[in-house]
Amino acid sequence: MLRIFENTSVLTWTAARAANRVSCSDNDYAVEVSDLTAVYGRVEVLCNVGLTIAQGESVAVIGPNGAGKSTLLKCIAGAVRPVAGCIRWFGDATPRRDILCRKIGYVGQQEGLYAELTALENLLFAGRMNGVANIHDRAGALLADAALELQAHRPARQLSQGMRQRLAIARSVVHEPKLVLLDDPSSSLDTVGCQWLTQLFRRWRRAGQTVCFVSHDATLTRNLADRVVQLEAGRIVGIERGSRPPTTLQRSA
Amino acid sequence: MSSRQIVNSLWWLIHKDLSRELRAQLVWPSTVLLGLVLVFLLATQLDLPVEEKTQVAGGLLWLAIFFAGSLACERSFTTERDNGCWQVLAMYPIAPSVLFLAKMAVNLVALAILELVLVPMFIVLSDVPLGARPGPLLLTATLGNVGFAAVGTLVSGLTTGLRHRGSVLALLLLPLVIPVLFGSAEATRMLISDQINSQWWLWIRLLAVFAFVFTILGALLFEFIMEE
Repeated sequence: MLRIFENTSVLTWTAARAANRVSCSDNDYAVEVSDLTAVYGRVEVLCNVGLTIAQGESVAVIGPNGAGKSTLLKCIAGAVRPVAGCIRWFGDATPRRDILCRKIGYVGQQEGLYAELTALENLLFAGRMNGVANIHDRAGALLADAALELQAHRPARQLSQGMRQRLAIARSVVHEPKLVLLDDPSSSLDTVGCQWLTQLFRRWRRAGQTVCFVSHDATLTRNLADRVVQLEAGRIVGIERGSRPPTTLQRSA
Repeated sequence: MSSRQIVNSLWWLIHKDLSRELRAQLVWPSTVLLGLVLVFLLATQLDLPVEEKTQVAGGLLWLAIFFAGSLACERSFTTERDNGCWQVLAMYPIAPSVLFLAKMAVNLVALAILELVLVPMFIVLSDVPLGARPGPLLLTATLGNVGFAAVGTLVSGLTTGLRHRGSVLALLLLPLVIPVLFGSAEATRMLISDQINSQWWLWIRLLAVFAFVFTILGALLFEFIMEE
């Protein structure tokens, strides 16, 4: 399978639109976004955005504040309904809501943790809502992985910002989603936290999970992403290749 | 979703809200306090002959319960909005109607607790024989609570993302709950006056229909409310 990457940092919208389509069969796409337009009130946040993300691929979305990065992520997560355009998830443009939710793990700009519940209870609740079997074992493993074992019975409000971010990321993958969407995952993480995140990305790649994340951290972005999509004023203005080694999907090309 | 999954989700959603409330006292203390102040003011100002007092007592009691209860309904969503929890909740594979029913159930518990405190206090302060017919009173209160919780949950969910949600909530909620308020007040007035007749049953039926319609409507419309 042929894969097209653009190496120039800035492209015109037309060129970017042509370039961001990965050449593979429909079933290989985790996400296909076409002509997506989203508005908040009268403000057009996204304008005719087109993007495809292959399964197992890691795509970073970068851009200045207000570029529409988080909105794009929310649209892909199904949390915001666009006014125009189409999104297909794993080849399906109109999936059942519960089926789509089971395939997606999402962490927004805010962690979405219940401050009064303990770290363990937050994971247990997320697991129960997702119908995860053996949720106690799964939650324990995730807490251990995020180095939060000692904080398991502490309320989330007593955790540090970085711990809460790790807990939120752990919560987003409690149901082992095929597509992980993270809005600025490294924002509150220290060096150790960033290393943990890097390891997590590697594990997701080995498991064939697709990742799309928004980031302002240029180094992390280039290390973790197969492709870097640059948004400006709601439009894709550039797509770069990340420095991450090619995924299984790419190697098979 | 199987019915077992639905019941499980409903239970854990209610469990989560009750756990949060019991640990942090997010909503209920302020709701009960507002109710106590209203009941105290209304009951102590009710300096009327017994006959006239029984005519207005029910209306005043329900007015206090609904004002204080609207605070509980409104806060049940704002605490969820804090820290982006609502967005995460909306992304779980649970039917929006289940989420609505869970929120409504928690609001029903809040209203029940509120009434457990306010009704005895109102009886003591106003000296109205409200507790003489506990069965009919319980039926009136239950149907009034279900109707109010259904409308309150629906409207609170609708306004929770708005900047001026307090004023919009009042504008939408108060006209919508007038049938419940009126029905509950009339049914209570009649049971205080020992007039449990066909007319009383008519008010009870109105409350039951209202509760049923708004519960179904809320469960159906909640999907649109959940969208950002």
